[in-house]
Amino acid sequence: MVRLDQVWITRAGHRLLGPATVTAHPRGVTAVLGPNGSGKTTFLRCLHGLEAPTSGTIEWDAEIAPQDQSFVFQKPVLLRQTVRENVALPLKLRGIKDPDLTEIANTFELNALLGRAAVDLSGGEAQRVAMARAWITNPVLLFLDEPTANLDQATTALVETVIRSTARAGTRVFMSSHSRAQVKRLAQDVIFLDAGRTFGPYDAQEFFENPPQAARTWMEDGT
Amino acid sequence: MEWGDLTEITLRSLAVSLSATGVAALIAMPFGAWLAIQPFRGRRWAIATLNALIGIPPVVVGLVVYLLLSRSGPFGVLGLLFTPWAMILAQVVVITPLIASLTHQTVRDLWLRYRDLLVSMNTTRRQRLAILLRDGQRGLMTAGLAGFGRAIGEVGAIMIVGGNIDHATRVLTTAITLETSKGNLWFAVALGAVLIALSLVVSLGAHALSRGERRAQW
Ligand SMILES: Nc1ncnc2c1ncn2[C@@H]1O[C@H](COP(=O)(O)OP(=O)(O)OP(=O)(O)O)[C@@H](O)[C@H]1O
Ligand SMILES: [Mg+2]
Repeated sequence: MVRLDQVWITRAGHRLLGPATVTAHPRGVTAVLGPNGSGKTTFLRCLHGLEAPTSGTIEWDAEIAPQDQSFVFQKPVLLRQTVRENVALPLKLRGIKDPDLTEIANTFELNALLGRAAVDLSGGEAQRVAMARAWITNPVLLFLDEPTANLDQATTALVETVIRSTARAGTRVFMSSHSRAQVKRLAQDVIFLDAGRTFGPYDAQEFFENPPQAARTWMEDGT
Repeated sequence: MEWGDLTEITLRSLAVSLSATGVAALIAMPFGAWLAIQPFRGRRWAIATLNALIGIPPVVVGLVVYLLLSRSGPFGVLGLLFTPWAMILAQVVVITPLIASLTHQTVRDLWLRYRDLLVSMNTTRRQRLAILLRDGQRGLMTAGLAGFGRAIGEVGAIMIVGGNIDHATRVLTTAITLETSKGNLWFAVALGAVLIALSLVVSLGAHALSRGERRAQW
């Protein structure tokens, strides 16, 4: 369980998040929804500990060690090394040399890319590498910031399958997304953000059947 | 001066300036990288000072090193004045700020891109430095070459602390000064050509080495 109480994050007088008051009992996939600039990225970063609250408190009932968490950034960050080295990086940092990457490469269809320089990858390929790197440590807590925004349909389907089976296996996933259809397919819970303010969590099915007042306008336009 | 001395002088120039670059890099690169990732009070001030030190006049460095190493100075007992060691020391002082500043810039740019990832992965400071220095190796090589270029072309500091002694501390730049003042202009020009060729060879050599090691990344 994680509890945020009146969390605000401001920078140079600009509000990134707040007020965020949420009590979540994460099970499976928790989706973070909201319009552009509403604070989804900031919210995830805050949960992960990359962003400290300017005011307010955030409490986990059982602290999850940083090495049991992974974060996939909205824009993938890869080192200027080969794909293989990028994927193996978290293991290398733990002192594991030359790990077997066969399984993870199969999962994210990276076999043909392992020897390539990461800087040469396309956006979608880079995103898959970043995901493989996040997954390779079998995290307890996984943050995905719009993981499929850069991916084509087939790859999105692949990634959704992986997310679903990972969540079934017990990893708790927080993901932001712009695709309502995707959230319907994957998420058990929904947290909605609007201009920095949090709403929810809601049961995902209920959220879509009977959207809360705050999310209605946003639900009405687009997909 | 004999043509045969040319080889000796050239080799001494190389030895002194390569050593100075090596020592300066060992100090400046970790320091510059540390400066890039370590937040502390007065960081901006430290960086501004470092950048100001790039322009430190070599003659002044020479003078200070001279005072330190002279017989009556605090390190006079070491007897280093008018030896290549004193020249290396002076050149280290001259080029360390330059290498540190260029390293800082390279590592800073990378750090701004990698920070979230490296913090998220719970890396230790040592691991961060290792990753940044490795991924920034091209920028670091440029920093090293810039330092070497400044060292090998420098004359003010080594003239003072080396003394331009034949068969002991004479190097290309001090020899050029001497030959010019003696009116041996053709010889001075030849020495100048060797100096430029040396810079080119070292620079091209470093680039070739790094290309062989891993393919171009940018
Ligand atoms: N470093 C910063 N300085 C000032 N404002 C910032 C900074 N980072 C983010 N913001 C602002 O904070 C708000 C929330 O940003 P955030 O990235 O969390 O939104 P988001 O919901 O993830 O948006 P998107 O859907 O576009 O990814 C935005 O208005 C953004 O402009
Ligand atoms: Mg975002």
